[in-house]
Amino acid sequence: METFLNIVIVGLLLGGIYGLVSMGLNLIFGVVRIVNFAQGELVMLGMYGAYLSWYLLGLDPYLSALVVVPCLFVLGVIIQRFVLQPLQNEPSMQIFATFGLLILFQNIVLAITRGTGYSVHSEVSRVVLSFEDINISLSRLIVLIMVILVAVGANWFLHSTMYGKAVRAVTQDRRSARLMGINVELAFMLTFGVGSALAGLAGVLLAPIYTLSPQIGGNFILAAFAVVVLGGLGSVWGAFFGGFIIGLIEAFAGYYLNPELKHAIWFLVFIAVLIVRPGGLFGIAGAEEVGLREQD
Amino acid sequence: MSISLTVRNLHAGYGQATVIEGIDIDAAAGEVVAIVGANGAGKTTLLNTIAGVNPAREGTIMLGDLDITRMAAHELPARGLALVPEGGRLFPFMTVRENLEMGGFNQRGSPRFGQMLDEVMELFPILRQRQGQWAGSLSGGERQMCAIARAVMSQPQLIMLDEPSVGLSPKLVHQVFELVRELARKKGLTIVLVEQNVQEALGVSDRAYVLDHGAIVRSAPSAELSGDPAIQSAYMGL
Repeated sequence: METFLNIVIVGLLLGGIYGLVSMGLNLIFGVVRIVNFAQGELVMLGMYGAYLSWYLLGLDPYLSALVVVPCLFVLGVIIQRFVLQPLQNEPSMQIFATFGLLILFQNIVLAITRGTGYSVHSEVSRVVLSFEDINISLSRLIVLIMVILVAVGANWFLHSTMYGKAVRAVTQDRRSARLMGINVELAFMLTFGVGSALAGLAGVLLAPIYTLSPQIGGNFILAAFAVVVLGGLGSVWGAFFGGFIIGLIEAFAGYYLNPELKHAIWFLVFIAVLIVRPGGLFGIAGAEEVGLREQD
Repeated sequence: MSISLTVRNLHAGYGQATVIEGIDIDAAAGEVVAIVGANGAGKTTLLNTIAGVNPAREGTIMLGDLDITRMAAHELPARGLALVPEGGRLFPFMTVRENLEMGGFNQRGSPRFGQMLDEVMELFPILRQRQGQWAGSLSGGERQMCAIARAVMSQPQLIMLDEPSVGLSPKLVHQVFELVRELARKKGLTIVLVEQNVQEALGVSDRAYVLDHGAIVRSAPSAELSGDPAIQSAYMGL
C-alpha cells in the first residue's frame, strides 16, 4: 500500500512538471494555432535565465522568476511579431520557423556554454518533507502547487474577464472576433508572450531539479506533446490533467515494468486515445483537423 | 442614432480573381437599403470589403465623414459599423450571453454594459431564455437572432446583414425580416441588407440595388423594383 501511495505521489509530482511545461504549448496552440516546436527551448532558456540571475545578480532561482518570466514574455512577443506574423498566411512555414528557432536557441546556448553542464542550487531544493515513509522534495511540490495555480488562474481569466473571453473568441472564429472589434494580431502577440512566459516559469522552477544542458528542452517537449494530444489540444484542463496522466503512467510503468519503457508506454496510451478520441480527452472538438480547415 | 455610408468606385477580389468592379452605393442615415442579386454576384465580398475583412483594391468607403477604406476590421465597431456575417458565425463554444458580451467588446469599459445586455435581451426575449446555453446548440433561427443581437450590442449606427434568411424556414425568414424592420424603426439604424430572397428584401427596404457579376446594374426605390416584371421574372420566380 505504501509503495502504491509512493508511486502515485511520484507520478503526481512528475505530472506537475509535465503539466506546467505543456500549459504554454497548449495555450499557444489553442489560440494562435501554431505548434511551437521551440517551446522546450524556451523552457531551457528559462533554466539558463535562472542560472544567469544567480551568477550575475546572486538571486535565488525561485526569486529569479521575477526577472526571467518578464524577459521570456518579451521574447515571445518578439517571436510572434517578427518571425511568425509575417508568415501568417503560410501555416506550414510557421512550423518550420519554430523548428528553426529550436535549432537556433540550442546552438546559441551551446556556443556560449561550450556544452558544460551547469546546476543551479537553492536552499529550497535541499528541503525534503517526510511523512512516515513518504518523501516529497519541496522543489517538486512547488512545481505541483504552481501548475494548479496557473491552471486555475488561466481558467478564471479565460472565463471571467472580457479579455479572456476575447481570447476564447479568437480561438473559435478569428473573422468573427475581428468583427467584434478584437485586435486578433495583438491577441496573438500577447498569447505567444504569455505562452513563453509560462515556459520561462517552468524553466525557473525546474532549474534546481535538473542539470542544465542546451538539449534539455527535448526531454520536456516530447512529454509535452504527449500531454497536449492526450489531454486535448487547446484546452487548459487538457494540459493539466494530461500532465498528471502522463506522470502517473510513467511512475507506474517505471516501477512495475521497466523505467526504460516509459516512452513506449506513453505512446501506446497516446495512440489508444487518438483512436478513441482524436480531439483528446478535454480537447476542442475538431482540434485535430487544424491546418486542414480554413483559418481567416 | 444613425450614420450614412458612401461607397465610390469600389474594386475588390481574392488573389487573381476580381469579384467586384467599380461599385457605387449610398445609404442615407436611417435608410434601409437592400442589395440583391444571384449567388456569386459579389454581395458577400462587397460587405466584407466595407467591413474591412477583405482589402479594397481601389475606391473609397466613407462612414459619415470618415474615410474607412483602409481601416482594419477590428477598428470599425468603435466607429459605429457592425456586420452580421452569413450564417451568423457565432462563437460555438461560448454561451449565448458570452457571445452577446463579445458583441459589446468595444463597449467593455462602459458603466452601462449590464444595461445594454438587458436591452438587447428585451429586444430578443428568446435569447434571455437561452443565455446560459452554448451558441453552437441553438437552432438556425435562434442562431441568426443571436448574431443580430450580438451586432446590436456594439451600439452600432449602421448594421450590415449578409444573407440573414439563408437556411431558415419561410416562417423564420419572415420573423427575421420583421426584426430588421423593428431595428430600423425603433433604433433608427441605417441598415444595409444583402439577400437572395429578393421578395422579402424588397419588402423591408426603402431602396435597393441589383448586383450582377460584380457591378450594380440597377438601383431604384424598392417598391418600384418589386413591381417590375423584369425583376420579378429574373429574381422572384414569378
